[in-house]
Amino acid sequence: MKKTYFLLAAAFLVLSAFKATAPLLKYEHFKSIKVPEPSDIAFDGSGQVLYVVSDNGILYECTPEGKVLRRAAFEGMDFEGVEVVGDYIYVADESLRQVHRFDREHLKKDKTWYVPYSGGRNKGYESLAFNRTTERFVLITEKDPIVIKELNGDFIPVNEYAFTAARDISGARYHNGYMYLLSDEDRKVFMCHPETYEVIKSWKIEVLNPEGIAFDKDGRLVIAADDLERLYFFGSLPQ
Amino acid sequence: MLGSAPAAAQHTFTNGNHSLQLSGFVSAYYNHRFLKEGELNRKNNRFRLRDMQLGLNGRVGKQWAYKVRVDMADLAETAMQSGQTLDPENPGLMSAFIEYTGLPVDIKVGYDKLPYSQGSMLSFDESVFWQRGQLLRGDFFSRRDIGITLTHSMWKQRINLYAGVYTGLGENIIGNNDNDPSGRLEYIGRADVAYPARYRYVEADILQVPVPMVRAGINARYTNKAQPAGQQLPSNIGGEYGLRVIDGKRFAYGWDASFQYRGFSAQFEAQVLRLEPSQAGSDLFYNTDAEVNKGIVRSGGWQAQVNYCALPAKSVLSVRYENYNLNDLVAGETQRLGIGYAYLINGYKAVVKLHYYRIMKEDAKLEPLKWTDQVRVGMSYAF
Repeated sequence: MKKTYFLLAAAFLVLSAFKATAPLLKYEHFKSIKVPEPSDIAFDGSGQVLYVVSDNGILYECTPEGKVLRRAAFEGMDFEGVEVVGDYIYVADESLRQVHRFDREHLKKDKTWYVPYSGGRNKGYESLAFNRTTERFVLITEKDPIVIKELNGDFIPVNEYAFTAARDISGARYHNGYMYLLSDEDRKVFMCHPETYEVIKSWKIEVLNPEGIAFDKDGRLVIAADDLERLYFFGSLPQ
Repeated sequence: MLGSAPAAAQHTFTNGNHSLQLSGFVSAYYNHRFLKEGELNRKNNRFRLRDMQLGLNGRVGKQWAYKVRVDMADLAETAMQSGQTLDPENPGLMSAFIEYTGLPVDIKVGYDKLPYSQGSMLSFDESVFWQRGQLLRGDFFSRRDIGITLTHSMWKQRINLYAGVYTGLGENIIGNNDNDPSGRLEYIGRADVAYPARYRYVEADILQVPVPMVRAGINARYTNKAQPAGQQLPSNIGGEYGLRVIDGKRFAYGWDASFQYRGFSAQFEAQVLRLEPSQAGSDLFYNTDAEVNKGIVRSGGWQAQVNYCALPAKSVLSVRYENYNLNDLVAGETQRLGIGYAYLINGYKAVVKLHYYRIMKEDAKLEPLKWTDQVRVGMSYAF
């Protein structure tokens, strides 16, 4: 019997050894933020303001280092994605399959769209981004399955892609001509083709529960960690 | 990649304020027992439909939640075996409650898992094994009941506090409807703290967390079900060992710990039962003199489990050791070894599981067994 145990353990370890690797990105520093369970982040065009959404359905306006300046009065159920386009901030409410629009001046909600998706309640829209190559909004479901939906300005779906390179997707951002997707469970950043969403490169990050991704005005990567309520600051991604 | 296969998820309906999720879980296995010499009854060599669960899980606004989850396989089995002792790990009705989350303390009313014991609170759907440890699967203490649970989290959900009051009859309350003749309730409290971040109730570290994470918890429960003169507890309510509900005072306490880091994880848990039967002639005293037993019976034990998740191999390997003593007035103890292997076809949504049991030491007087080893292999699917 002992021999059987030994053989089983040996076979398991051999199987474990085959590991696909991606280069590791190391963060330079991190900051704790006073936003409960931050689930996504997005800079405005100037890079001077950082918008943060939280799992408890609140939109916060912060400094680039994450200090809270003000918060929106409107509360949703479970905000998981945020994007800034022009004078508006767009926020995805995962459970209710809604996208809210807030004006930047007053942080007041002025419009809501319903984008149907019948998957698991906590596996809905986890990421919201604006693809400047296709000039379309992008909503991505978290997992089981990961679906990338491209939508027009009225949030009507115009195209759909399956993404199978990760266990989940927790954030997305357009930067320098590429779409960058973030996986919480795999702790990876994927650089994707902006029209096909095929993976061009990927990097591993050592951050617990990464849920939000953004690039600051100098093109440096910033990751929001939900459980630890921190922002992690990286350098620019190697091209 | 664990999630590379396309998969159907749960289904959700929403009307802008109310979201309702429909989900389910199906599992089946083949069981083979290696009997002791001379034992001829091989009825446990069989296929079994273990789970056929359907669940409704809803949220209304930010402040209300509800859940109903039923296991059709268990209901069918219970109907066939009416009058038999209920299997506490497969009680049929899994959850039926409403919860208000609009106050600093969450209030849950209804029937659900009790906030007691890390090993009991872990989700079976995400276990490598086909069965919980004997100490924690509901024969020493009930795992579900009807009542009120208050929950409060603090320090970024690293500290969780639970307190509740329940009927004390556990899973049997569903079939019994009424309380026992004592009319008394059971009180349960639990506190756990995790570091450096909140720690979910999972066995294996399939996320391969990049920082070491730990959690420690303590819990206790008390009830006094001493029966009024001429009254007795409902039949079959004591469970497999007659320990779940007793005619008398019952105090149980335990502590647990969990660790995970880069695919390695471990759990430890200990449980102690202090029973004070109200009748001097209680079976629990096993005919010992009052001077010897002093009116008190102790029971309990501990279990330890280590797990390793190898993501490239889509595999989790677990080893579990259990040691328990059913009654301190009777010499003997049981030691069990469990080895589990799970092949994750699509995370824990679709899993092939192998569970090997070995009885290392048997309590021949209190728990004589007809078998020495057992193998259970099967598949589960969550939708």
